[in-house]
Amino acid sequence: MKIEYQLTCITETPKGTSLVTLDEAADLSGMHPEMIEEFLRAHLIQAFKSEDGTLYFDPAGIHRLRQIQHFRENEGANLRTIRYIVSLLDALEKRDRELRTLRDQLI
Amino acid sequence: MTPDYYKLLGVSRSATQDEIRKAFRKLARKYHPDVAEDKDTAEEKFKEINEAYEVLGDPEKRKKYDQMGANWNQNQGQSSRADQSSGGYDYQFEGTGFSDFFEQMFGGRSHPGSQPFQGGAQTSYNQRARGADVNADILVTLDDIMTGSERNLQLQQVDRATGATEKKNVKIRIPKGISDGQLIRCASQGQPGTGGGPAGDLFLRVRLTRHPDYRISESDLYYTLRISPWEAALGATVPVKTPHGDIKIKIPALAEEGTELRLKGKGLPIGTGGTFGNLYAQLSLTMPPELNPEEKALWEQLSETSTFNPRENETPSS
Repeated sequence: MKIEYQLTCITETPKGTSLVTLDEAADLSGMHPEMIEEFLRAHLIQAFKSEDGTLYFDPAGIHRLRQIQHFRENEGANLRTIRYIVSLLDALEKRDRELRTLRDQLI
Repeated sequence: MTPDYYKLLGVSRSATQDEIRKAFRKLARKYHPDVAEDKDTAEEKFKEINEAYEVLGDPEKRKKYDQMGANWNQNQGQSSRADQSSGGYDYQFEGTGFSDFFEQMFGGRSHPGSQPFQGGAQTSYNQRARGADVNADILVTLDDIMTGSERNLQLQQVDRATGATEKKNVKIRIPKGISDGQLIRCASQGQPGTGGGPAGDLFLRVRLTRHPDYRISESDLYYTLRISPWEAALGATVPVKTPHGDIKIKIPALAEEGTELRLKGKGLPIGTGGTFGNLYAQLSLTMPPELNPEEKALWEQLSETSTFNPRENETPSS
């Protein structure tokens, strides 16, 4: 089975950077690694893949995993609801960035 | 103490967004650490005006500031008392580049109830659970992005139930090539866990200080290059300020207003991989503020000689 993730390739070694592996991300978010892979397949989180195929997560990825875990555990949200909330959060963040850029253009 | 953002920018409370923008631009040019004479005081002042513009330049934040500005401390006190029953901690930061006031008014904080993503508060206390994450903004300069830097952050944790405070010093690394909006995770610097659970993390969202010379878009920089009408007509070689040092670029003859000249690789670093974004010099034709008699005569001579009419293709009004 071919698994497609929403991935960005990294070329540098993650040493010294603040990237964590799938197992560390699982530990940090309180989720099972397979569950994280499922969210990756659902395009709800962004991860990075090194040349040797290892998955890495940046601070934004960890933050997002914690949010998802909160929706699951505390709000009882299912995948569909989480997908909806995450898409709203992403859209809001994108608009926020655009607004800032446009405002800066006026300076 | 409540800073008077209007006073910092030297504008009245009824100033329009346009006036605020102009005032900021003028002050940013004066106090930017790259150009100011007294670098130490200028840096502090530059941070202050950046913060003032961060608030007044955003109509929503400005409204909130206008409504609550004078009473911010009172309101904060009330909400703290109201939250006491739910337990948890208040956070205050030093070293993020923003003042305490800004952090209290606009900074992301760990408030159970008001912050939807904090799990800690709802969790039963005899259960082992991770502490809630704390969010805050951090002001980062262009220099920090170019070379990477380290910052000492002081976190003050106030227990809302007992009022006990605990201070922690955290050294954080701002990685080279980080961009606006990215997160820096400081492990275990959030709220303490319950039932022996691990502490939450501190997430710092990067906010770039605005630069008087450049507009920043991810790793690309935009620079307004002012040129005289004769430089535009005849072409010229002019210096351009870049974060990599001054370089000279050639402006082609008959250059149009708004033309973008791309300086490849002269922007900000993209991550730590050694690649850089581009710098775009946008040409802006600038007229001399006044003409001496000799200059005026030359322009008149040009006006008589030239057959160019920029409006010849316009449809005449009926």
